[in-house]
Amino acid sequence: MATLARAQTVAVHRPRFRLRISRVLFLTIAAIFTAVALAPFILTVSGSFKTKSEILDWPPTIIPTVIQWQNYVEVWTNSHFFPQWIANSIFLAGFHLIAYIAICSAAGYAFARMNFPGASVIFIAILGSIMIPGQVLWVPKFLILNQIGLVDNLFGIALPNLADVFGVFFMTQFFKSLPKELEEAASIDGASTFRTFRQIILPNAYPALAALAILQFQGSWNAFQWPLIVVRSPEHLTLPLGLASFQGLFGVNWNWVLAGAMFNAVPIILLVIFFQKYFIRSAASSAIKG
Amino acid sequence: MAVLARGAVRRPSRFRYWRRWLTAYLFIAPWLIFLLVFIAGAIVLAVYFSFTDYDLLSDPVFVGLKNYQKAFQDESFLHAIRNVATYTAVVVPSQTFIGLVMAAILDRKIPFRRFFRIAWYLPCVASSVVTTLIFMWLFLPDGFINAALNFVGIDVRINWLGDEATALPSIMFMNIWATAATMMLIFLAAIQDVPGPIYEAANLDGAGPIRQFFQITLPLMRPAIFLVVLLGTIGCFQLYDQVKIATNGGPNEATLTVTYLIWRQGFRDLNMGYASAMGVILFAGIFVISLIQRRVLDVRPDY
Repeated sequence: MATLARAQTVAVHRPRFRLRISRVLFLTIAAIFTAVALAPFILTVSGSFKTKSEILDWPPTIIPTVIQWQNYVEVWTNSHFFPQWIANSIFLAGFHLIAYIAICSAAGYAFARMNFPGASVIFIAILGSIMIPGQVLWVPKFLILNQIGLVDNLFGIALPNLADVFGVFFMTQFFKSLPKELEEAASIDGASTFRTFRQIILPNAYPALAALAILQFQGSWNAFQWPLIVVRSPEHLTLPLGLASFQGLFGVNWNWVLAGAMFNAVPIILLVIFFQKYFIRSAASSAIKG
Repeated sequence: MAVLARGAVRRPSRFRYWRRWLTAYLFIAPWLIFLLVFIAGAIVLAVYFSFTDYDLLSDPVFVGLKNYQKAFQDESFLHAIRNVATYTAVVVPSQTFIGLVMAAILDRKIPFRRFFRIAWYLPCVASSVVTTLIFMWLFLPDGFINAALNFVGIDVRINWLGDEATALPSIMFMNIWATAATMMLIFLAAIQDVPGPIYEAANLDGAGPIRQFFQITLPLMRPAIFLVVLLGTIGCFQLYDQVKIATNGGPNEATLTVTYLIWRQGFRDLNMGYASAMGVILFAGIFVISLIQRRVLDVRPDY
């Protein structure tokens, strides 16, 4: 009996002791990861407030001695097209969201609910195309745009991005999870398929549509490779392209680069903080897909 | 009479069948058109142009396999493949390992878990342009990376991105920083799928948390590891943004990659045919590597 009691205390005590050591260890590693992940952003914020001379100091200061908004004002007013770049990026994101969601939800609904010849063939062909890296299609997509006269045009950026598989896959999965009774009631009332879709199905799909919209906004707002191929003229650049063009041609003005970068990074960071669960779920769903 | 009745029943049903068929295609039509033009059509064109010489100004000329032969004799292309191979060999294991450690930590009941998760994830959501510009600044000879090294007693003033020896490793560091947490999220989803009773049994057997991780969690996560390695490899093969923004393939081709070369041949030098051929080779490479990885990592979990 006594041995049993002793064995029990050992069994209770040992894991607690171990847990405490591993807790300190885990917290230390976690703190290091956090510092490495956040330091570049924190230094960017601090750098964006530094004066032109302080940003060149060695060793660099972590907290600016004089904090001034000058860089933000200058990047907005002195670099001719900066407001235009932001407007272009907002336009592209808005157009992409509306068109992409309309197209993908309609197609997803057809795949989820309508049995039509060719459905499975199309679906399999599509899943195969996921394997193809985007860069392989740069040349042919550019040549197609060249034929239809959309090179150096914002729609040349936007239209090819609508040819995407993820959204349809995502919406198909979602519509399959909706109860069939929704449509059955509507069809008894004599509503057409399109009316059922618009008035009954879509309002029930808001959570999925919101998740898709947030993920797509991130992609569109951050896009670099394809816009770089399509547009040339300074007034047609998007914000990421404009920022990238800050360095290279004329000697780098890091004050402007850092302040300009904030305009691109802050909206996305806020979005992720407020809608964390969508991003985390999407990574999880990509795990299921694989 | 019987014939008439059969016909009367049949006609509306066939009509309804075609109508349903038509409705379905109307629903997918807008999406299918974009897909046929910008993916299916583009794939066919990519293969076609890879067999031609085409400079946008005159008509494409069919040249057979010349572009493919040229690629494998092109010193720049071979150099780019070597760079990408080195890059992948360092970045994929690093991001996988760090992602796994991150997920393992977040799976524990430590304080500030939600804060850690979001803080670690932020590098993944900022645009490649922003993170590259930030790191170009940090990597300057007068930048914070050198300052941090000086602070711990290593007295250097390296021009990280401007020096042939350090340019590629700098881009490796940048990308590990920017992608590890994406891998973490995939691992985290997988860790949480491991059945709880297995841990309870291990607890009774007296296995500590570290041993449990190596002997239970890790083997059960093989499918997730496969996915992370595959996604990581595909991402590495496509390395472009950082190179285009920060180094333009330099210095002295030290950071030249296959995708950068596709851009340079296609859109700077207007060799559309040659650029297409390199694209097809890139696709073939990714396809073969993913088949090999599927074999090696054997994705079935053995419960």
